[in-house]
Amino acid sequence: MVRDRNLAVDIIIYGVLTLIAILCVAPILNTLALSFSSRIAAVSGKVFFLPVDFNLASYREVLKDHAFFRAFGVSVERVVLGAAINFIISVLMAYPLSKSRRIFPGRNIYMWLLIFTMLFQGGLIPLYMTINTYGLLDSIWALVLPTAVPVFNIILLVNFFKGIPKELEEAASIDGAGPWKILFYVYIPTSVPVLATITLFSVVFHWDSFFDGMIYMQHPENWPLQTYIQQVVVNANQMNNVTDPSEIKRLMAVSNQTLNAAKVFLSMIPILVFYPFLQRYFVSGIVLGSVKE
Amino acid sequence: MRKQILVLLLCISILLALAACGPEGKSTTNNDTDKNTASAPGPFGKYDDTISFTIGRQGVAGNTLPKGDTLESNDYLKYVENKLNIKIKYDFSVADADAYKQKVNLAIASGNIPDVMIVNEQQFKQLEKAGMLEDLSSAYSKYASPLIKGYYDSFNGRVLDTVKKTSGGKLDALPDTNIFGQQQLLWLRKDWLDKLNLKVPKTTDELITVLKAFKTQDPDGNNKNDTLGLLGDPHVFQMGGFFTFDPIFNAYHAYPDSWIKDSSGSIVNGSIQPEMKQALAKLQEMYKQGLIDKEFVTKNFDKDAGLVADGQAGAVFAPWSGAWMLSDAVKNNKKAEWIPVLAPLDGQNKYNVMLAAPSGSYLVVKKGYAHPDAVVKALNVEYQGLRLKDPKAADIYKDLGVSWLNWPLNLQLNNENDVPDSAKIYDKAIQTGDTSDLTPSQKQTFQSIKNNIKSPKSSMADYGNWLAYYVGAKKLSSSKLNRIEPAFTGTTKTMDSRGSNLTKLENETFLKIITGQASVDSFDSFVKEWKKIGGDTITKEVNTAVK
Amino acid sequence: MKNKKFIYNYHLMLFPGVILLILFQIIPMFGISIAFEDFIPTKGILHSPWVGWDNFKYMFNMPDSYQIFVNTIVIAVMKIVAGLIVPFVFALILNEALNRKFKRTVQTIVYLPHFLSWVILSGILINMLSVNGIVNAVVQAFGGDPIMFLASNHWFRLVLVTSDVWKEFGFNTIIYLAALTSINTSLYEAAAIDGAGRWKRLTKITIPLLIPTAVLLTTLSLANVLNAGFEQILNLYNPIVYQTGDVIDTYVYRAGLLQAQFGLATALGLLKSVISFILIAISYRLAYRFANYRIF
Repeated sequence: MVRDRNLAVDIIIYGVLTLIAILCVAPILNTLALSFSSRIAAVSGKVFFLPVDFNLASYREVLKDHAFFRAFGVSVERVVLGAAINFIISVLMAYPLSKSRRIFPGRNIYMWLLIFTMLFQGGLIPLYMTINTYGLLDSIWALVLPTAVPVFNIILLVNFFKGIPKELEEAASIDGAGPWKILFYVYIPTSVPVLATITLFSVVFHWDSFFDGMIYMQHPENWPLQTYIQQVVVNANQMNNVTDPSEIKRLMAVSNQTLNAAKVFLSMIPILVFYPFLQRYFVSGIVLGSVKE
Repeated sequence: MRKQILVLLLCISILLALAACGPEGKSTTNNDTDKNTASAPGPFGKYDDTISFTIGRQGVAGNTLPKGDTLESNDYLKYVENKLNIKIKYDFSVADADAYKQKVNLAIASGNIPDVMIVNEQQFKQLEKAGMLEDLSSAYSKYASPLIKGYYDSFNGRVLDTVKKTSGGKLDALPDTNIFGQQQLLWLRKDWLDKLNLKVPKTTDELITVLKAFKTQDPDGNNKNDTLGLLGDPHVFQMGGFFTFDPIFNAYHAYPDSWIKDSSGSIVNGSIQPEMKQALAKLQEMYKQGLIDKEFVTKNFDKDAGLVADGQAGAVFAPWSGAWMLSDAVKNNKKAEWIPVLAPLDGQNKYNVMLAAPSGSYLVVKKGYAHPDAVVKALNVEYQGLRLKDPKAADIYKDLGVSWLNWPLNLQLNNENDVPDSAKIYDKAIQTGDTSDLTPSQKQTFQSIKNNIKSPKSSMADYGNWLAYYVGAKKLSSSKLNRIEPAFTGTTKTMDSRGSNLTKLENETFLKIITGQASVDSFDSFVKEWKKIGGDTITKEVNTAVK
Repeated sequence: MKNKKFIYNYHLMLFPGVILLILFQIIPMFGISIAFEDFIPTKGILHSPWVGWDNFKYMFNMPDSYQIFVNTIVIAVMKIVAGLIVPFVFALILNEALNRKFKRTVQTIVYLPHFLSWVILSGILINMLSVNGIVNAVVQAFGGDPIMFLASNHWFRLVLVTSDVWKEFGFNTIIYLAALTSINTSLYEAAAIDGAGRWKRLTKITIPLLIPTAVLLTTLSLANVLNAGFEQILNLYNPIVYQTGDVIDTYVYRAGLLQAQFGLATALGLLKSVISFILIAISYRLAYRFANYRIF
């Protein structure tokens, strides 16, 4: 690389970048600080990046909250199941779709079916009725099956598969390998970065979804974590509709900003833990999948 | 190519097979109970064979049942089951009101509703129109307990008649009862008034003086400018709402969103009357002077209650039951002293209150469900327990602070004037020491009130009960109170389809005027817009409905 | 012969995915007919009375419709524009930092917000943007009056756009950074020998070479003109900002699920799908014609 460094310019560049990086973590730090602060300090807005009146009360309280951990469990189950299904379907669909029309005549029909379903949706109410008809309400499958075919990931994978040298496949084919063998022994091992990327996307997608949980789960026990957080933390306006005295009395005690911060922070942890491992793959994964030679 | 078509055909045929065997699955459940089960006699008679029904209802926010118990499996349910041999299974429940509305709407849309649901008025009408509801007339008249019938009778038929009107003479729902007394009172920090040498305000202007002092003269004496004037809520007005400004509107004879008779005798909507404009102008003026929390638009109950607990607020509008929230401030600061005040008054020294619609939610039973009587009986047993008429039920979750909403049917029933009447009874009992007039549940409350009188503020639970049931509730029988009956309650056809647009317009306009983002005169264009987008049609419908 | 066996297996591989698509995407599509019905639950989709275009007529006469469409397009376009410029500029700046370790760290940090859900972020944003929040503390430090960001029609769209950019900009730089690494370093060396300074190399080599990528991304984002961000808005808005923040998706949600106006909600949703479909078809063509890029 060319070297004609100018110290002033460098300082500005590094300064700006550092500032931007700080802006990106600031909200997370603020939440962390709130979760360790006292309730009074939080309400009166004294908490920034360091806890005020440091204490662990919020976390102690979360530990007692069965609903939170049950929701956490549902989310984990959903992520494992959902990402596994997404993975299998993506690999199985992307491989034939990466073939050209000459090799695989039906290819374009399938491709358009994918695109069509991505663009047109029957809408929430018909989808709900369908799920209800299949008897899937309240079942984890209602969260996993309607999203089983991740069109975006498949397109990414198709583009990546297209870039795999044909010679590899031909060589394997001459050795007598069928399409399944070729997929498993040639394509999958050479696609680790992009497979890691789409897995990361699936995991994040399933971990972050809240809306379907709200619609399809009939009992709060079956909520995934994000639905729980949305209902309990973000959308906590139940009080406006309560006129029953003994209820009001009871609800007074429930509200708690620091407790909410603790819950929000805990629900970020899996992403914070999972992400650095896959991060080194996904840049190359995305690039290889979308920018074609 | 041919093979390809073959595969496609295969797909489709498998699909059709799947689709064909799917649908009927769920609808056949729950009617498994034999229709011939002899109905056990009387309101509390136990069934020989187990009867079951499924239910959909709003859940309990922040439920505090003992470990292992849930809304769907708890001792209240077991109690009902043991008493009547009725098994209740939850089809769905969710705590948030909006989320629950969604669940019910989706259940209705898919045509797959549980045997029993508690729904709102719009949903009740929709179910009624779709013919999905079972008539409860005979089950109610044959099996409802005297206690339940007594509650409905205390409204002189106003409650049940509305339902009968909607269901064409039948009784297709059991409505809840909105008891009197949800209207807001002005709650003030007496210790602040005393410290700043202020007298208890009566008129709006006197209230403004007090708020100004609260805001600027450091009533909490910490040498910081951290106190607020009046707290607010973005709903602006709401029957039974916390922190909403209803009393200010009412002092100007403005009754937003209520249907009132005008001088010519026809029914008009309170939101578009000139009195509204005056009241909004006053609120805008107060907001400008910083006498209303600058940020009230973004507040909700939690945040406002936090400010109260934190000792930053000394003036709020809240119903008598708001006392429990206020006791939080006392918990943090024993010197805090809240008093309920009937203010602001109107020119005739009256404190105007608009009466609530008689009901807001409805217990409905799915058409074709074989045992509506079992639902009524479950309600009987539940209220017998809830009102402590049955000593056995009184021991369930005793002193654990478990919400009564964990009983299976969250339908609120009571005598219309229960709150002020009970306060009178407590008053008498305190003077005479004679508690023989008290019902079992009143006795419990009375004990708590007495405890607090004996040693004030030593137990926050007793203090809260004293402040709410006694001090607050007593205000509701004041002779200054001017009860105004709405000329119409409920909804009409256009209200159901377009009412939400009007409500949205209303709320947006009022918030903007109060916060000064729009001028007071924009009220006039609001009135025009309101009439145009359906208000006029609705007004006509209301007038025909009443005639 | 062998080829036939392969093709048969290709169909077999696609089979599970296709079945799932049909079960959960195609079959519900019949529900679109609700848009043309006065939907009555007991009668179901098949037997509810047919009302033709009534729901659409009502939709177009509704005073809110205009506002919803304007809001949707304005918010979406602002997001698209900001979402193109910010990552572009950021990628250029990042490219100028030569310390690899520093660069890697910054990258890791700025990608992170992309992976957090709007539920979580809204919870955080509501806190930060409140009058006692951290943002207003900064505003006041500079002598300003506290601002009610989430309750002001003046600020709400800006909050939506800024928070969206904040969440996504890091992630969106990936493509640019990739394009940057593919630039041949000998170009820079040659320019340096010719005496071109840092600024000149940036404007004459780097930017022109990134423009095609930017154009391509712009074209592809055309499809998002009606997607203003449902989850974000649903978790951040309140009635006072309906005027500037209520979009098609949130309106459909309220009309359909909270007010049970199923016909209206489905009609609006259908209209949105049709327009989006047209836009995607256009962007597909444009991308192919101008960038010689096939999306799929």
